[in-house]
Amino acid sequence: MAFWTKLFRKRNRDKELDREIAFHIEELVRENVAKGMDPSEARRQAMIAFGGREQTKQALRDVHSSHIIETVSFNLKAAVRFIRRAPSFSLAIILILAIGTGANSAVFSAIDAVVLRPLPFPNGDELVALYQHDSKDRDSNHFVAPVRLEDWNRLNSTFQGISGYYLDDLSETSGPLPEKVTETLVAPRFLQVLGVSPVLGRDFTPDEERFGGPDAVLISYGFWQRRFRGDPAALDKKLRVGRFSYSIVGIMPASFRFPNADVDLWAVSAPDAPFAQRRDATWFTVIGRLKTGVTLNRAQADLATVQQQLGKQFPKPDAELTVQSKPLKETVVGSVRDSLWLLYGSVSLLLLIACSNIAALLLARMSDREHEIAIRYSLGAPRSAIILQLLTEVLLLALLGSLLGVATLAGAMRGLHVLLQTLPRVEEITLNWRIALYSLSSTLITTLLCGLFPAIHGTRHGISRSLAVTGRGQASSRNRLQWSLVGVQVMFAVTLLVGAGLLLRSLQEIARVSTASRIRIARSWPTAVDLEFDLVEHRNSGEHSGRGRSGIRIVSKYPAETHRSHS
Amino acid sequence: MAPTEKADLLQGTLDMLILKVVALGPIHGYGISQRIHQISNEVIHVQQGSLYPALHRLEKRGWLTAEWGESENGRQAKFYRLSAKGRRQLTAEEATWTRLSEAIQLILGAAQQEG
Repeated sequence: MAFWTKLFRKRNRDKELDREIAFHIEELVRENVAKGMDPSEARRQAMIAFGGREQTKQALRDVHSSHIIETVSFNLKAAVRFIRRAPSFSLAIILILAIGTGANSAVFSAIDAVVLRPLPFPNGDELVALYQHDSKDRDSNHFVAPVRLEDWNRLNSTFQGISGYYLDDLSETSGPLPEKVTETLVAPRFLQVLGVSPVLGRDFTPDEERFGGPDAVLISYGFWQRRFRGDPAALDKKLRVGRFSYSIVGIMPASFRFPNADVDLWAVSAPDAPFAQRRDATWFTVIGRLKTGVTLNRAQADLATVQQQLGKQFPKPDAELTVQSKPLKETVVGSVRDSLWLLYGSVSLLLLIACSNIAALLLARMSDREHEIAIRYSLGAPRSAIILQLLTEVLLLALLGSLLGVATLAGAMRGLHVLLQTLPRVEEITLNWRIALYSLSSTLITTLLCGLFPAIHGTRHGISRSLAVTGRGQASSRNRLQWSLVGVQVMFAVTLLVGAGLLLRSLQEIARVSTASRIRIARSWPTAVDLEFDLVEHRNSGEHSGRGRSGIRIVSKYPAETHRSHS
Repeated sequence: MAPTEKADLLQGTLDMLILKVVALGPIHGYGISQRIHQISNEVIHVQQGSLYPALHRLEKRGWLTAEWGESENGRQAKFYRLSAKGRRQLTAEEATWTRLSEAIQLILGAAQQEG
């Protein structure tokens, strides 16, 4: 910005300079004419008297130019020369910085996507997760009964809507081979609450959200591509999932992966189904969208009032229940946030260590450059100019390093996704301008961290000492410097070790998270089998009719309890 | 180092002369060169190549302010005016100059006595 305004002002100033000089020349001409010369001769004499017009203009421009551009280009040229003169030294620094800033930017891109950015829904910050909590029963789960969900949705005054879902792994059998699919069974208003519409087709109709209505299903973009190769005709097709036949009514956008990336289908679990009427039959994970401007605290208080009312109306079990809420984002990323920040802290430390190593390298090199610095001093350069030049060299190295780092990161983005695949929202991690901006600012900070101390240290003697020292080449002082550098290096190495230890710890943390989710995946198969088995049993015993999705759902996430509640 | 000092001295002197002339009232560049020429009994002739850079430097330092106005014969010209800061600077420079020239006079006088 400043550059352009400066350029613009420069144009205007050039015009003014012209006018000022022209006036002077006109006055000289007038003076000559007054002396009796003929006009053309008067002009010629005036031009001669004035002298080099262009030279004067250039001199005036020099007065006004702030020398920033000249200084920068001079320093950059010097920096390029410096890099050319010591290619291996420069390459070492560039590589160290590439690793340091690359790793740092990689972890920051993960933090940015997972922790900092809102969920990928319109006004994602309005979305909250709601739980019921049984104050008497510590072992109770936090799922909510369909009837209670409907009560909350009807009686509250702070939500645009409340909905819920649960997951199920089933087999889809309409194709030549049965396929395992992950189905999300949703309460009414699911897509409205999330603020998402199908990319093709439509949302469920109110009819489809009622018990006994048509069986409709929404399919994921991935499933659409995999199963129908993206054919729009999929909309009329039917799917056989478990024992039900669904019509495909809509295809969700590729970006829609709620509640997780594995989901293939969304179907309705009607809250008015006969088997869903018991107030202790709980299976929904509840989500709600706050009205605009409503705080979580106000919503929580509102729902507490609603639940108190329900407690009076249905003392058992509602009197024992309280409502808990937290931002939906919290439920998605809460478990990994601390680990990610720890990892970020570790890579930042790594970058700091890299910086201190580079500072040591530059410092070591500075003793070779004393002569050069002394010459610049003797040519009248102020200390600040020399420091600026030394910093420009480091800046150029740092820019090259972080460019290399970010380029590597861009190339390794897929690898990063695989590496962090157990993270929620990992597919949202991308390189974007925020990451670029972050890398740039970390490069500037890196430059100062690496370069400032060596530059200040290297120029501390001013003109007199640096000339004297180079002249005599004092062996003793040089030895002392070298020894202190060795000391510094050892210190850095120890710091590096400690830093690596911390990094390992945080990697362990991440790994711990991933083991947990791996266990969850491993368990899902037996669960599915158990459920199918139970379902058949219930069907045969005629306990339930219509949509056989019964009380099993209470415990669909906890296979161990399945047996407890049904045997 | 020596040549730089010499240049600085001359430059400083020109600056002081300009400040002094401008102190007499708003005036354009041509007027300044004329005035210096006249007052010095045609001894000092300021080259435009030095005058204008000096004027702009002084303006940039805030010792002079400039604005466009109409000259005696109805043309647009850039008029320079002394700022408060410039007035203080002029006072300081005049004092320094007086002391310096007195000192130089003393030295020259002593040298004459000995020679």
